[in-house]
Amino acid sequence: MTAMRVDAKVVMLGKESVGKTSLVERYVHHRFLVGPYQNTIGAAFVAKSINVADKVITLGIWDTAGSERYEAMSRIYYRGARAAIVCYDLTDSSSFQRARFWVKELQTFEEHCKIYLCGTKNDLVEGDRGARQVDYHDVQDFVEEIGAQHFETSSKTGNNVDALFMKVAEDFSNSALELLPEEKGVNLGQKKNSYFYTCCHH
Amino acid sequence: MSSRTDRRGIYVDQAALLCRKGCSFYGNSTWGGLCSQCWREENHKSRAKQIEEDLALAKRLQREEEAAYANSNQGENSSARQSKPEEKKNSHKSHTVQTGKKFLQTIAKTTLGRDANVSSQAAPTTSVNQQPVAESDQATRQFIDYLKTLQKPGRDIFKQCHSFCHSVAYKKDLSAEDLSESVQDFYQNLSERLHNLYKGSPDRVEEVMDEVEKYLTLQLYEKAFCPESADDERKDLTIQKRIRALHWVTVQMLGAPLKEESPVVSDSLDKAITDIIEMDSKRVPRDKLAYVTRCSKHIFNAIKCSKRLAASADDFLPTLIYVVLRANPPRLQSNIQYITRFCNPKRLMSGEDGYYFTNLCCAMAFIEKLDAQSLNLSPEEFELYMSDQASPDRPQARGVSLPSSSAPRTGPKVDRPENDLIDWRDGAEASVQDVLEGLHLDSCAPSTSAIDSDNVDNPSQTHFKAKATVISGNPNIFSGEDVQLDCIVPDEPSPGWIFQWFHNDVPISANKVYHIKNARIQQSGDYTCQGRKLFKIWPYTRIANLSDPVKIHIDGGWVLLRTASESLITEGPMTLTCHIRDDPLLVNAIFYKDGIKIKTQNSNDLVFPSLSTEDNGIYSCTATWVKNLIYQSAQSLAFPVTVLERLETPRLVLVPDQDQVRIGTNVVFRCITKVNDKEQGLTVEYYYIKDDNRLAPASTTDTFIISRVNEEDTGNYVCKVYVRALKIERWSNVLQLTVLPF
Repeated sequence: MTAMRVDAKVVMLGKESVGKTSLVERYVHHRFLVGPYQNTIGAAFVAKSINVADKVITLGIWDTAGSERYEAMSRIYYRGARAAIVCYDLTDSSSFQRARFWVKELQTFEEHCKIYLCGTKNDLVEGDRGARQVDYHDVQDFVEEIGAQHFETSSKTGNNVDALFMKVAEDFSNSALELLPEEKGVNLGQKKNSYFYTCCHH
Repeated sequence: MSSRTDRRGIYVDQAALLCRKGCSFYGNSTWGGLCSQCWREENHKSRAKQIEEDLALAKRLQREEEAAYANSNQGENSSARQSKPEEKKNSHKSHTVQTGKKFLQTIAKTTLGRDANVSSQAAPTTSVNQQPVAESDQATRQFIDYLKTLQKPGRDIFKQCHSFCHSVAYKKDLSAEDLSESVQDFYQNLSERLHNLYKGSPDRVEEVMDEVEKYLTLQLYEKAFCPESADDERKDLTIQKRIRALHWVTVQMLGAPLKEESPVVSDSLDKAITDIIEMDSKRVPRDKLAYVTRCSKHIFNAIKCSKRLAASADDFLPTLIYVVLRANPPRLQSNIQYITRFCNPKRLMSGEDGYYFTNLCCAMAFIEKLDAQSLNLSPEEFELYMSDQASPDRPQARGVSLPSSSAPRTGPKVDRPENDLIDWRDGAEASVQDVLEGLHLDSCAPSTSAIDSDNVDNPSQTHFKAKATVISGNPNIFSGEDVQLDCIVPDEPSPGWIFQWFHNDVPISANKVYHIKNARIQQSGDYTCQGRKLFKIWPYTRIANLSDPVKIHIDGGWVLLRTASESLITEGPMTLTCHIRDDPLLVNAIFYKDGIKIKTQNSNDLVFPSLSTEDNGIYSCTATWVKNLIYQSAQSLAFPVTVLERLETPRLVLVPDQDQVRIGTNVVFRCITKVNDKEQGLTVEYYYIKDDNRLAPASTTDTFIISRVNEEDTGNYVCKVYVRALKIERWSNVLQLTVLPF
């Protein structure tokens, strides 16, 4: 079992059924399947290499359980993440409220983690404007306030999906260059965040 | 505890679990039945021997190194000059060797000194301790072999690792966190140096770091795993007890999308359980992680085969929690801590192994904090279950609803919207077949046999099973009478099924209800049915397996004996009816059991209010009646009666069937029983007992796994099954297990 070397950890956060898995599936396998994914055994962890400028960056994409019953554990997941894609469903305003929760968590506990807000199921609101429950401009204001990035994607049509992950990779590539001189190696610099203890230490 | 009285005849022999030295802590078989404290004491004594061996090894290595250097020095020098005539490099090299030599000498001295100190209390090494010595010995040799391929930097690395090991190995009062920090600092410094050395090939750096991690952790294992200073051991026990107390948690409560009744799914789950248990047997963090990853892959397979969808994290985490609850992995806390403290941080941070490990941490955190709310239960229910006063319904149960407060989980279910259905008779069969042939049928294919492959050619392969029932009339009728049979799929009652009836395996009808009108004697025999459903989208078809047969007997005579009940269960009633053609006026009926007259009466029905297995037998009746003013008399054919036990006596077997196993293998017991009760889906509790000692808390699974058996596991095993709702328990046969030495 030769595991691929991964440069950056990217976590997918978002309420159940906002389409985190479909987004990753669309990005990695360029497909959207209503029915079963016959060849993928699990889409919970994927390593994907991208060319950024003349470099190859490998993103390790972590899917997370979105159910509220695991909310207390979400910190264990996003620790050490370089990017978080916080998903909400454009047709479900409650999913955006949950997205705000994760944004807050990330800002408090994981300051080096870049935040990407991603409204999913754009195809549904394009077909029927009445279906939209989350206002684009409201999110845009929120995003500017917190200094995050904002995307609206459709895993069904593939709209904006590649752009989202490309941006994640580019940002990582740029920030890695900034960090390199002082820290020498990005991931090792965080070794004293022995955060796993938090889950097991009390 | 009040529940203790309920479990008559079973007890846990505390003494067997405790430390052999009687210090009231719990012992552990990997520590030779001692607790960590006593084991450490014992181990200390045997250290003396280890040190002696280390010394010998160090000396041997020194000789080897010197010899190797002497040989390679000339060759290397000349080749180095040819390619890179750098004087600096050469001088540096000889310098390294000198310090290396000096270094080894100092070790030899220090170890000698220690040897003198401890030799007075030297004790014979036990077999438990010998293994690690051999292992770390071997690890050193492998490490050196590996480093030799790196030429000079290799020697440097060895020197650093070796000196680091010795600097911490004999440090007293080093806390777990301190040790972890020194190791992590060492990793970081070394990896920085390696990054400078192998610029542009980070893979090479990681390869070296993997070897370094392996070497270091094997050297420091005794000190690093479950260290004295941390209270990991106490936490291990706490979590172990906690998991035992949670034995009643079902798949549904966790919202894990599992179809446990499918053999492939339960097979994958068993493998996942074995792997997570096996994690404890490895000593290198990376190897432990590999087992977590293997476990996770089996879980994905189980989900995939249950759901027919790729699993997402929303499916994976609950399933992993369920697997941990069922496995109750040994020393879970210690293992997680050990990996966290001594694994190369990069692996935990971003790679695939790290992902699964993070999920395992989450699973443990969830289990520790789990309450009524996290299982969608009311606090009252949770308390009842926790105190063992009640037990939730069996997971596979259908038609049994959980208490009202538990919100029904609308988890991913296989039920398809009805508009996906298409009509079988549209001639779609051919095209479906075409598509199926082009499909990748995959890892859900069973290693052994039956599973849900949805293959049209192989209708026997799903977990749905059709059921044939008599809906009007009786399976025992006279020729000329009528009986109606109905085919249903109890596990998937939604409409859209297309049925097929068979009479003695010959297809006869495609209707749901099969009506035998004006029956003829030739129509006697076995009636079975199966179902299939078609979809526009994958999986295109779904098959309900062939039902159990309904036996129809069509009698050409005048008298027959029959019973109205479908199944006869102990303590239940039975009415035997001596039935006469055309229902004339009865004079009397004489009932026989096994040829002996048991009752003469003037009514057709003989009632047994409460059956027992003693009522099993061959019954017949002789009836006398008046027809057209003429007395007539005739005897029925023999009618066998089989009374089923409400809870069948379990059979304890090994899977695969064997009675001798090798030491170190995993042994899987299965306790096979069946509940025959009108009420469906009653929970069976399983107890596993060895030589009168209960092995584990009650579980609702018929499988019991002992991982890595050792000789002490030899003994007599029995299982007990208990149905709380019926207050019935049954004991199995005694299974004698012999563990053979390796």
